[in-house]
Amino acid sequence: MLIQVILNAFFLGAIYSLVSIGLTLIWGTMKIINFSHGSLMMVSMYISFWLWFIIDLDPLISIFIIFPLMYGIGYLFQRFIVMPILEAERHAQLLMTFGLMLVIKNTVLYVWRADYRIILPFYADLFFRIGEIVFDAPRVIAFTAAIAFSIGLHFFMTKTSIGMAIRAVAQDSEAASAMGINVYRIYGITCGLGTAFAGVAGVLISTYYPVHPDVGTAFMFMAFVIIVLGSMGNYLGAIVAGLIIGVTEGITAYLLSSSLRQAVAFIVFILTLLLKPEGLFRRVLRR
Amino acid sequence: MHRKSELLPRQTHWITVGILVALAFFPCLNPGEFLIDVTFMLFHYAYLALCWNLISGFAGQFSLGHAAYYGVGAYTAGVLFMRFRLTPWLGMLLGPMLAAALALAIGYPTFRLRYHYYALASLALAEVMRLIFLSWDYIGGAYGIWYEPVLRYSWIDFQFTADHRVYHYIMFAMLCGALLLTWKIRHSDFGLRLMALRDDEEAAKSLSINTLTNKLAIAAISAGLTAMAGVVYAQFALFIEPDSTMSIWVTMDMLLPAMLGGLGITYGPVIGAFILIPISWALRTFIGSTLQVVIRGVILMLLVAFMPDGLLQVVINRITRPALIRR
Amino acid sequence: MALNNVSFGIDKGKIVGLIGPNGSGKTTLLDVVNNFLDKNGGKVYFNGEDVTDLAPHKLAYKGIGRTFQVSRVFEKMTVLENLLSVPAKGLSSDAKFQRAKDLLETTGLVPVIYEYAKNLSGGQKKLLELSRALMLDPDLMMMDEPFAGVDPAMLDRLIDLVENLNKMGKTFLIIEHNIALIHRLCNRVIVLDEGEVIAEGRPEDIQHNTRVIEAYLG
Repeated sequence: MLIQVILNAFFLGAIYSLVSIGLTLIWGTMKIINFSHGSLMMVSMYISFWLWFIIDLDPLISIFIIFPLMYGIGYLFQRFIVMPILEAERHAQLLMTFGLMLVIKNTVLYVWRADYRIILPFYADLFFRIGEIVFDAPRVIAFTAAIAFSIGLHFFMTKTSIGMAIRAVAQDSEAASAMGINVYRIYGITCGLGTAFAGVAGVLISTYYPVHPDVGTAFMFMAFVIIVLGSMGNYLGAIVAGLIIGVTEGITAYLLSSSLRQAVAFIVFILTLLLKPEGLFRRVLRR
Repeated sequence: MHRKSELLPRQTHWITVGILVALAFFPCLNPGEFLIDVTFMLFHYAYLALCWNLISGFAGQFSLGHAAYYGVGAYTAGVLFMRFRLTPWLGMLLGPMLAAALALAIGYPTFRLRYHYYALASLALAEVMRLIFLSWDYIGGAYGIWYEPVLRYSWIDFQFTADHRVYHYIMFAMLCGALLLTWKIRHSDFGLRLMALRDDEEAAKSLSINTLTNKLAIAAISAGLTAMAGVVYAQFALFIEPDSTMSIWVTMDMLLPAMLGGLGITYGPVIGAFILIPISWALRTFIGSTLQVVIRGVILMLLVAFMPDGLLQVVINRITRPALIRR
Repeated sequence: MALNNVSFGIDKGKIVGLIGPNGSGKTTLLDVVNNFLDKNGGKVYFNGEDVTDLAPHKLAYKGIGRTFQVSRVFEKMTVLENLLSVPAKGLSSDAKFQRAKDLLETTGLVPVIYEYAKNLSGGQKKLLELSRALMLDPDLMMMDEPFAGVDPAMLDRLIDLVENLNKMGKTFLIIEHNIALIHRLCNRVIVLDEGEVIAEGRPEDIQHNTRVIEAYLG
């Protein structure tokens, strides 16, 4: 059954990629680690759940609501939380987003309790087989959507002027500013985009993953490992690294034990920092 | 001219010492076990905040997972006693060693990079350890370690259920020790090097300061001291489990008082603890533990926004405003 | 800004100026020597020793001091603490304190000795940064625009300090824009443009070098 495990892990990896893209872009442009990124993803999972539960809206449709909603939240986040402390003490940025994460996660915990909730979309039981291997409809759909979004992002980053502006700012914000790019506007757009992607990831995963306040932390943790492995600021690297980590984690959980999956990710993290701190996809860090 | 720069007025020193001594001798009034536990916890959290401040405040390397070292200490004591029938005092030796080793293990790869990486790695460490301990049945898993109380009063077994005042005095002694150590470090060349690399790492390197070894040193010291508090906690509570020793809010309990009182200031954490801990308890009693974390998260954000260096630093800034005439 | 095939030597006891238009790579050059940036195949020799791969703090220990374009003092420490934070190479605690005291007197910073560095004026910060670097007693002092933004009174003090230290045997490599100062201080000048050395020689000669003039104007 190893192949099945690898396949499912690969599908999950694409979702990891989506979450990590936002984080790595935000780091790339603003040089801050958004600790609350995972919790925002978790919030969108809850929104997706409630939309399904109350008005029977399929998660895939709710993406159209959640994407702009999360974009807005990300933009506001940047304006009101990040901007004021951009120039502040370095630990201010760290702790600000850390505090926000605690607030969001525990507010959700308080309001909606710690019960596990599941969405059962109409296609939950659909699947097709190729020999011994089962292709779950929710997983396949989520994977396809995730890949579609990733490809879409790549086009956006390479073919649109805003996308190229984001890349310019990530590379050298002073030079970008000198070229006439409104850096602060790009910050807002990047944050909005990144959070929107996290939101999409949340919706997609909610089709087959339980909804719970801790889920955000788990994905966040994976995202940290992924963005380091995929080179901070490099969204393509995040996509590839997400798939790699997803598969690695899946294999470990299968061969060793499920509780060790985080430990393995952590070890990958430490090893990356030891051996190749700049990640697999260049951008050498200063000594 | 004198060598040491004393920026805070003498009064603050005396006030803090006065409060500490008053609290220390509080048990002589025979106030009953509950209140003794209260003073014990006050000293406990003040001590923890001091330990956290050593690496995060003085060296500027923010640890978001200090709870890992606390848990290591607590579990070392618990496992030694319950599994091996050895005195938990051994934990005071072994625990810090293990914790220091962990700190070095995550410090070495990350201290050569930007400070975010250490923060991330420390956060990850605490979380991973918590998850591992939750499913590690040999040391209790989610059930935790429940002590069998021995005699009601035993120095060798480090249990004083008959008289909590011993815990109070032990913790007070540790707090004084930590305070003294912090003060010594602050006014030593080592402390100056730490603050230098905090303020500007590249400039520090250009002055021949080996930033890596200095960071590793303080990380190990801080971790080891934190573990010792973990040991004491295990012996006090006689029950330990992963969530109460290694979760994020344990780290928050160390972080918040230090941030409130004054990062990088010797007894800032102590003052912060004395202000914050009573407030946390009140919150926890009246609005429940989940909302209490929310409130503390908000407090953290407000602190960061308006007083990122803590209360005492604001006081110092007032005093040392650019003066035309020097004293 | 990348550097391309830059090669030069500095004789002991000289004061060498490093000039060039903005963005020509002067600061980058210092960063590369200091090992804050990668060398990509270059080599650095100091006192006959290959120090190419030494970590920045080890280089400093060998005797290369550095000041920065925007003064990087330790803002949350006092002036005195800034100086005392420098590891003392074999000095006793008293001797180190004495050296700090002397440096503070020479640079005139004694009145602000207990001030937080962040409360100092720009010129004072420059002086602080310099005296702090001098605590190391380096053989080679690399300075990045040390005279920019310093008021005339302190300027003279700074220049005297550099000249006196030079007489005592210290070598200097100074990035500077002010031509008058270059003439006054430097024995030799190296000119950088777009990452390459385009001229080298005495200040008087460089001044009339057509390539140099073009670099600045073009």
